[in-house]
Amino acid sequence: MKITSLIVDYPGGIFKLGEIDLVIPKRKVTCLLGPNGSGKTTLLRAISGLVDKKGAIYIDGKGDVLLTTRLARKITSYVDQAPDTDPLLNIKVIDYLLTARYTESGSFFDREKDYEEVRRIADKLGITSILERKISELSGGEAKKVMLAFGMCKNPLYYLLDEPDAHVDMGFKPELARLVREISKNATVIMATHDPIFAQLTCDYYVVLSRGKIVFHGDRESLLSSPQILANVFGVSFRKTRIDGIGEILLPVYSY
Amino acid sequence: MSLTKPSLLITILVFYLLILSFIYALDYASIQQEVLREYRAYRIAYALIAGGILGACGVFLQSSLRNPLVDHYVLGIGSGALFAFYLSYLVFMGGVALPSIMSIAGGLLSLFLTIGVAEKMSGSEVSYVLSGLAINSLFSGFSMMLSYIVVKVNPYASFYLVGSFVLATKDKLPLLILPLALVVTGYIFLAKPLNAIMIGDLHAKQVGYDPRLTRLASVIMGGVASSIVVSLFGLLGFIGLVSPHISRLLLRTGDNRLVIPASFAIGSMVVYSTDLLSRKLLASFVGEVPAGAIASMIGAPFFLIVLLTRLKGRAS
Repeated sequence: MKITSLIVDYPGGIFKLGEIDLVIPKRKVTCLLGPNGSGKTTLLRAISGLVDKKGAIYIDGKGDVLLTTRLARKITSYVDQAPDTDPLLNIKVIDYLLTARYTESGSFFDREKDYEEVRRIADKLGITSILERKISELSGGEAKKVMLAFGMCKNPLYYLLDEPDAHVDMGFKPELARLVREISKNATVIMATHDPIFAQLTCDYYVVLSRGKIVFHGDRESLLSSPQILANVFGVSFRKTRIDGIGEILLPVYSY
Repeated sequence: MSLTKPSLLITILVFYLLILSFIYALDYASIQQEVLREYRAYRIAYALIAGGILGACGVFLQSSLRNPLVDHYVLGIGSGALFAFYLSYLVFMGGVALPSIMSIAGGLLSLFLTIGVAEKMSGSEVSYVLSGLAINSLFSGFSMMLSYIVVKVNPYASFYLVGSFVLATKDKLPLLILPLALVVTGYIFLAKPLNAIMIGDLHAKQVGYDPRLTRLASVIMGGVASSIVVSLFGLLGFIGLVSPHISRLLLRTGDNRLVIPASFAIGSMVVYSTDLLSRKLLASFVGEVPAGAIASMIGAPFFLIVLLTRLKGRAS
């Protein structure tokens, strides 16, 4: 995926993203790192065609294919925080997941194929037992899995994960990392996160954002060789450490 | 073993038809006099269709505004339409089609006023109820005042304040078919987009629908259809609020492809029963109480229960 001169302007001029020029490696996990308000979410939403933008995004096809808004909504899955719906509206997990199939199915009712796909993915993520529950009644970890399952049910070429690790127990992070690695076997994953440790344990390619601009992009090697970049962006220092079984990692170090 | 959705839809339709045939046999076919029979046929049909339309409109409004606390009455559509109806009576001295057209304008005006004020407040579920209350009171007050004048032209004018099927005249049928057609068309084209919009605007965009267009279409459709019903039979509050909730509870899903037809059937039966109650039971004690009054007596406590369930978890 190639992003050229991408700009997102919000009315009122409070925040502006860009100009962004970036190449995102195929079938890898790319991580967007940066503090609050650095533009991670906006960039993900711009790629998935959910906010108005200037500039162009191309994807690999026969030559470069322009990613139009329409195409983006079809071939990307934007996975957000759990939706806030009213319990009285009675939206069940399975109904929620089936909406992911709407882009593909033109028929009024869901096809048997759609149900099979949803059940297959639910099985894979271990959420079969909660399919009949309401989405307003899920725990934090369950909600994360259901959101990810929605992304998978859409069967996209690109996953845009917006802080999949927010508000979850630390104990859930290894499983989340495993799931992210697994989906990256057949698709390109771009993931925004706050957590530099989770990022380094999960991702292959790193993009660091600050105030709507890219301040760094590169693979793990180059991130490790320049700890001052993360330090500048987050305002705390980072120390390079070697941990058995993981290798070198940058750890945030701070005191008051 | 659970039923698939298409077969559930067929079950709903079969069940509804079964009830209709009961009503036909017990309430219509048993009448001997020809004149009474014709009147009764219209009256039954009107109660069934009007109730169905209001039940379906409730789903359109609740799903598109993502708010389980609203219907055409709570949002002020009813009183706005009623006000415009009385006004047109004064200005044009009667007619059937013209008051309905005016009612649409009045209903939509108050609907957008309610939405506008609610969005200014906070856009929360309860702000819609509060804003609707204010707009409702405003137009109800005006309607009440106008009803005193209109009653001199049309002695039945006060029936419209709560809703009644006493005036089951033939000429209302074509006007009732219009909102019925609107509701059916809306069901076919909006049921799926509404499923997505209930979850969120970004979600709707993601699965290929324009959330603003979907919301506008649903709200206008619900507003127009219920305004016409109000112009023909009066306010009939709470039907649109109660029916969707009963449907969701019974079906154990929020899927609008099932909830809309179920809510139509339930609204239809609730309004028919209240009308039956008013002309059979109460007529012998106190004279004919308007169906809308009975609907409110049942609907308002239900609304309170919904409101309490909704707020219990959130408050504190």
